Amino acid sequence: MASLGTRIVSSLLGGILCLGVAWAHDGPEHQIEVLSERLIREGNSADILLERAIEYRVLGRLTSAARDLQRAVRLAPADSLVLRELAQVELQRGRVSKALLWVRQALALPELPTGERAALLMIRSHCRAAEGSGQKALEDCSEALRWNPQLVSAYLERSAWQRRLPSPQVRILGLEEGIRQTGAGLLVAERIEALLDEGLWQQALAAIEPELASSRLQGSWKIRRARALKGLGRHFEAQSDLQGALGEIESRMSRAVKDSSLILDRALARELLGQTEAAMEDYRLAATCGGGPEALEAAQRLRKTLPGRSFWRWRPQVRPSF
Amino acid sequence: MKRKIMARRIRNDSVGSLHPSRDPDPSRRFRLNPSCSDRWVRWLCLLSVSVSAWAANPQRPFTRLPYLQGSSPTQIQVLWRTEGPIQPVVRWGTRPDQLDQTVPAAAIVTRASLGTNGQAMLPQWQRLRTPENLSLPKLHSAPIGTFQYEARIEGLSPDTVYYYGVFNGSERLTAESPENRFQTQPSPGTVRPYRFWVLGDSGTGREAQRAVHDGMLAWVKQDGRPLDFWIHVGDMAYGTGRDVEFQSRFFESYQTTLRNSVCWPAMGNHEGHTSKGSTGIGPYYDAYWVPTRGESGGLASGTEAYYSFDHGNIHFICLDSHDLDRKPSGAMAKWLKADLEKAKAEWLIAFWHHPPYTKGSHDSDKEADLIEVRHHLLPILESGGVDLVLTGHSHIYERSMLLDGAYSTNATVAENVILDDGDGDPRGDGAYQKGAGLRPHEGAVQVVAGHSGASLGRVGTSPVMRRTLVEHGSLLVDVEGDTLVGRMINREGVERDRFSLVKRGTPLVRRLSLPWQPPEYKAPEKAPKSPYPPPLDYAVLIPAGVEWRALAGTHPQGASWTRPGFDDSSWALAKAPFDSGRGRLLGSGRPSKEGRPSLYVRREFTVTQADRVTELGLWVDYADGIIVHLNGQEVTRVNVGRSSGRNAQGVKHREDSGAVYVPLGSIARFLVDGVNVLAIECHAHSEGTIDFGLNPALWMED
Repeated sequence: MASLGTRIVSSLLGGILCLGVAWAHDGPEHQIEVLSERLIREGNSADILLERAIEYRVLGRLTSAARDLQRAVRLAPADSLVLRELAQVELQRGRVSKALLWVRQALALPELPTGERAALLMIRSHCRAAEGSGQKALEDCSEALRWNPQLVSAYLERSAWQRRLPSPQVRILGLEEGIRQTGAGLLVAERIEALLDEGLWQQALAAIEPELASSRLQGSWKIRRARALKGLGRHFEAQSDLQGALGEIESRMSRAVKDSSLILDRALARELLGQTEAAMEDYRLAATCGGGPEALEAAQRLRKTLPGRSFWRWRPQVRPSF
Repeated sequence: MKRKIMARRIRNDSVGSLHPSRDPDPSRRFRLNPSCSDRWVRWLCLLSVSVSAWAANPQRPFTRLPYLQGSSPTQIQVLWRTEGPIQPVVRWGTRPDQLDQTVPAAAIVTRASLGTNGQAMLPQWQRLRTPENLSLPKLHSAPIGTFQYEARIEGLSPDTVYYYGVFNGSERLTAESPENRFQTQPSPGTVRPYRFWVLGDSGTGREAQRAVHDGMLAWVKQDGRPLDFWIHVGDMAYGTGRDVEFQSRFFESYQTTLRNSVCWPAMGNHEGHTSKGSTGIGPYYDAYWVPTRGESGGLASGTEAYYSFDHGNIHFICLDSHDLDRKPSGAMAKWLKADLEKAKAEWLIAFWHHPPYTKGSHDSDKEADLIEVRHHLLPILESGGVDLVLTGHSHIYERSMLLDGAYSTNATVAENVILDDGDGDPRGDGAYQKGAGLRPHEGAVQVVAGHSGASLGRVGTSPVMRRTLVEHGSLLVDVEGDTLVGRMINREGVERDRFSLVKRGTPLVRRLSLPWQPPEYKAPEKAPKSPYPPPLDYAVLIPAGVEWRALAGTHPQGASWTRPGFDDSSWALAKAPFDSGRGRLLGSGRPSKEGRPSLYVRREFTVTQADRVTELGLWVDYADGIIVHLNGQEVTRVNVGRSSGRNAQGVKHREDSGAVYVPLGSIARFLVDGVNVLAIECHAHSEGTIDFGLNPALWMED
């Protein structure tokens, strides 16, 4: 027979285990219940409303999230976190002017931390982009970087705008500043893209070689090198790089193709090989699985080379093999 | 005085005086019971015994004891905090009694929390607001007067054990102990056995967290091979990742492990309440130093939100799944792709907070965050050759079969995405097989390790999971050459799951059209609501059995009685416990007019640094419902439906007897430096209630 002590300890441990299991799970629905109870008990609180709005957002209930955040803003009109969250939710809902309104209110707050100001400016940049005001979006990226020079994503977005609204030398200098400030490897690659976009083939090639040599997966770098080689008139070598890149990309493609970054690489390789329609199909595919505006832009750019066909009605003659 | 909070710290001596018995005789129900006979008392006995060994508060001048961060083959960071500034010196060497090297002053970064202009603060902190101190990098929300030191030790040899000590000038602050040590990382590519610990969703400061840590330590000790490092997949500081929550629920909880092994963190959604990946600001970012410029291997991310590092022949990638753009066009996904291009290790392990597959306390087929992770990030990782993915968020242990290409945004299915449906256990169906090196789409094992402290939960069964365990624990991973072994160690230190991956040769990759499926999960009947567990590390602000100002037999007018400054001199001065059967309730507690018994009590308590308090809670026995007010604001109600005072409605009968822990909400908003007022109203279920009573004590987790 077990001793009293043993029985006490085992019942205790069992009790603790049951207790642990029985505490309600904390999925978003449950959190919403808990936070709603707290709101009833403690009265309206910006903190609690903000927490509940985040849970609503996780569930995709953006209208409920916006409603809570609007209530939170009434309670705490000087809380930049609440204002930023509300601006983001409104932007997600496609209500750009409202998002801009909340960003403006937040930016007017006195003693706003610099990091917070930069984050707000980036939201404003996204709003401007949604409005189609590329130049203003670009200016907001630059202003955000003035407040927070560590913001890697802002350097990238600014570079993307500078590519669309050609300002070549500024783009390269901006990325070099970003590399100095953050050391981010992504900016190194983006600078090389900028060099290629500007036709600075030799400079680009010199920067590509060490990156290629240090890479395990070389597809992206071979495509970049092929661009530089083509620019220098070394077409045969470029062709070889592109074929090599395509081989690697195909070997990494899953049967369930969803990796838009790989599809984008393949699209570019095919474009450089002159397989325009296959490339365009890849750009379209990438755009539908999160490839972002660059995929769509590339598809539209290529579309111009295929006159007489509506882009969205267009069907490829050569289906890419997945 | 060690702590600024005016409180009598209790440890092992507190039990008998706080806990009522479960005596069925209502007249004795609220009596003190020194015999430790009820389950709460027994539980607390156990907790109290363990408290001093586990969650000791740092000794002055430390407010956060030294811990390790950001190791590489040639350098490491030692961080610590003090109350007020010191002259920071770190000495190190290859023997604990011979610390013959000193970190140059220039290699120590100092950050400080000195409040803002016009903010109320103690005079000693006001004096620290010198131009020199104000020019230091800021701590986001640490208690005022906190100084954080970050010492970078450089010029080390790879894979070597060193010892260190922290000094204030020439005064040694850390004990001369072999426990204050670190081992540098081996040179990249080095093949030898590695062991690391993985845990998630642990930061509660409760018993389960301690047990999981102890369970791991016991298992490791028995196995005889120490940890090389550990990974926390997020939610290390419930509820909102405040600085005080980090301190009490992470740093004090794991101090014995933090001082000699590096914790690599991923931010959870709870930390995300106060720390933002888009700004890199918040207590999470204050607490950790992670490589942003490729200092520990990997491609420089330029941000602390996501990063990578190498450890021997393993490449690790940490992502911020909480608040950054997860789309392939976003900066994080682009960096991930670029980092994978450069990774040349033999093993690839990724970790973040939100699981792509789970049916624990979260559902990955319903929640947008989880779906996005699966849809956008997994394809990049799997085409880059990932072997193991570690996540948390869902409070459960789930471990998948060998899996690839399950990206569906709707219901996850197992058909044609499982490459091996065995149990992966070398003692059972055998290890999962992959080819040597990093190969795309040869399968990965997904582990959800959100079971390291928080309350557990399960909503269903994920079809890709081979093992689902609803019990507290953590994961230990061993990598030796071409073999990886993962073990789930539960809170008792018992191995509950084992899986293995072997990367050798070129095995045939096949997709199973009809793989093994776990049995359907049937949710149990609704379990009875269990009480909230008390904190392990606490002090008593208002002990049980002390005098309160009390009013019974009538109702106070309005809500002014809950506020500081209320003139309660006309109220009786009475000692708790208050109960109807012992004549200590100032009569029957029944109002003069018809109505159910009610009781109102209030008492002042003093806190001199409210920003150091993590949580306040009542250890209270009551019948039947209570409403608790802090400085005039309602912070908790139990068993009372609506309204308060004479208008209180919907008072439920309390079935259970005995004291329970009731946390008070929103104390960060309402608790103030100086004198605070706690006011409690207690209402009986009905007029005829005979076991009406109240016996409160106020506890503070710190």
